[in-house]
Amino acid sequence: MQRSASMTKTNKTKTTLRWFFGLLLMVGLATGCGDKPEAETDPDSGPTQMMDDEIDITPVDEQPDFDGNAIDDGTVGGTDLEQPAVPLPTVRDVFFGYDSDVIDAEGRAVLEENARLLREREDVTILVEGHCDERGTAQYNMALGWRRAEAVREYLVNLRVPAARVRTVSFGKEKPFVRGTTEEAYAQNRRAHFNLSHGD
Amino acid sequence: MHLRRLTGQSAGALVLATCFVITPAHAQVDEQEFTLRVERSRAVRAPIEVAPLSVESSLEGAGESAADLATRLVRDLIWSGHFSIANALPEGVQRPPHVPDDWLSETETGGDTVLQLTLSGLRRDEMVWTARLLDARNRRQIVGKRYVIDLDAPSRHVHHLADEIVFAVTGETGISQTRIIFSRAVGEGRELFLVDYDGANLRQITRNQSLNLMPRWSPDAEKICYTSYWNGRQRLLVLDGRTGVSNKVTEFDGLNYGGAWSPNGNELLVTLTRDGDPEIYRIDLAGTVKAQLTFEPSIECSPVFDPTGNQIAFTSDRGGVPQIYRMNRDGADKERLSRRGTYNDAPVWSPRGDRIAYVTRHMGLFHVMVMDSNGSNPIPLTIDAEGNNEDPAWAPDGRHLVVSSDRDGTRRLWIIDYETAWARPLTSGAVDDNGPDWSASPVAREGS
Repeated sequence: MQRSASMTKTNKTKTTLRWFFGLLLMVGLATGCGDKPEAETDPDSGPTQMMDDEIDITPVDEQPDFDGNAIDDGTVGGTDLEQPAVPLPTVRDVFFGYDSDVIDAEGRAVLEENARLLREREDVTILVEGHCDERGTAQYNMALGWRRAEAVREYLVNLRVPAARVRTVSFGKEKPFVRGTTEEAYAQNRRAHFNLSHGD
Repeated sequence: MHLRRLTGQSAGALVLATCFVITPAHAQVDEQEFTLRVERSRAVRAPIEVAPLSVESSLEGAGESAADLATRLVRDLIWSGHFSIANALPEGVQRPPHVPDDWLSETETGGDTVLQLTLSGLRRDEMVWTARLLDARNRRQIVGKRYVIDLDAPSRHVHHLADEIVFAVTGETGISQTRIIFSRAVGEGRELFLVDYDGANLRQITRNQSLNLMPRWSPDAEKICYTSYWNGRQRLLVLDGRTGVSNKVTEFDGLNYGGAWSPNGNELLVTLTRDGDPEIYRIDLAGTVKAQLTFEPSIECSPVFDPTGNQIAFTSDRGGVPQIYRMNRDGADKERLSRRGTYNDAPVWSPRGDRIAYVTRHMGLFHVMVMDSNGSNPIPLTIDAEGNNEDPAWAPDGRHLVVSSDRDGTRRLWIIDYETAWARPLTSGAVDDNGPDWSASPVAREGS
């Protein structure tokens, strides 16, 4: 499941888009779909699907201005565009045992693949998020989440991913991926999640 | 195992000693055997009889207003833990929710303490409320108060009166005017919320769509230190209750959390990883590091001052699993306090400094314990409740604690009476609440 940190610019874009498509949906419902209320709640309906697919587009208000009537301080030659961003690589998360910050064999294999994808990507900044399951105290889990993220960061750096591009943050047990009190849910929540972005 | 039942029958006894042993059928790594001797010298509740209400007003609804005020006052008195209400309540006065039957006895005599309440008309929205607590035998007034009450917001005066009565009868600090700050899941984040001790006046404090965690009151209850996130970084903030502005205290790489106040309000204890490992530091409110207090390759976290500011309790897994330790204010004389179990954390010193509440793992679940401040006599406070019980914080009366618990299937806040283990829910609904902290009492702040 794709997931992004709530504090990133990407997510603000996502929120904006969500409002935008929500508005579209409301207009649509008001103008013609009023007799089909199930369209509003169906998670697989068109607008909702579009929203999730388009998380990574450039925000509308940051796109270059293609309006031919606007003249930017007399430069008839226009403004140079930057290189379009190369799409971010898809990397996998690393999972941990209960109360542990040890990266197991499966985790090491995941990190070797991640490192291969990230090593040469100087345009990508890596934020490693440490997460814990809900069993345990908030304070100790906060430190444990930090240890998980640090263990992953060190492993990546040892695999020649530049240290300057890898940061860590711990969310302790405060931001679970999955709700629930089953061992499956707990296992999903004990992880190091990668939050990739362009630039610094 | 049933503390509340045992203590409920102790009305005549000054000291009630109970013994109980819990022997789990299936041994686990964190199995603990609790053999406890509980002294409950303050478990006696003073009976108060509420006299029939006197309404000296012809204004419409005055009778209902009087009954409403009395209902609120009775609830505050009962929830203080110090009183039982003897004989039947006057007509129209509701019995407080979440209260054991024997705290409201219809057979017991009121003894000599009688509460007389009079409501007299002023205007439609304002009335004069007179309250006298009388020692009938000695013909003495214990408390006498007159309030002009705004009937749209009567609680403030009722809470004040309840604290006056608690103090006059017991010499103890009341909690009726206190508030609790906590963290609640909102959308994908967590926001800080404030609520009165009785669950009223719930309101959201932060609105930044981030995770706002582990709020801690300053000793004067004017500021709140908490941990939040910005741009993928954790940082420690202090929210000024007067201005509503949060100022950044620390934003080092890695961890910035804890935020336990010194008793004088000038310093904070925090866990930082600025030197590459979770260590405990003492900082000032500008974020300047005054001292590094731990130097271990292990996790060092959960620091908290004792009421004198001379000692610090904290958690360390230097022995392999998290245990509670103490040290001096300067980091010297570290000593392990928790002696049982394989997972102990979240220490909080009681206002008198004689006890430490903390969280332990027992049979795979988490429970709130209270031990003497030297680590002896650990008492399980929530062991007969279902689910997990965490995040203890003391009320300023040193008698009640607020915890987070999923005992009813939803993680919400509960108030627990240390003396009787009686518990009542503080927050309600489909919520996800944690990290509560209890404000100081305005009575104590005035130094009375």
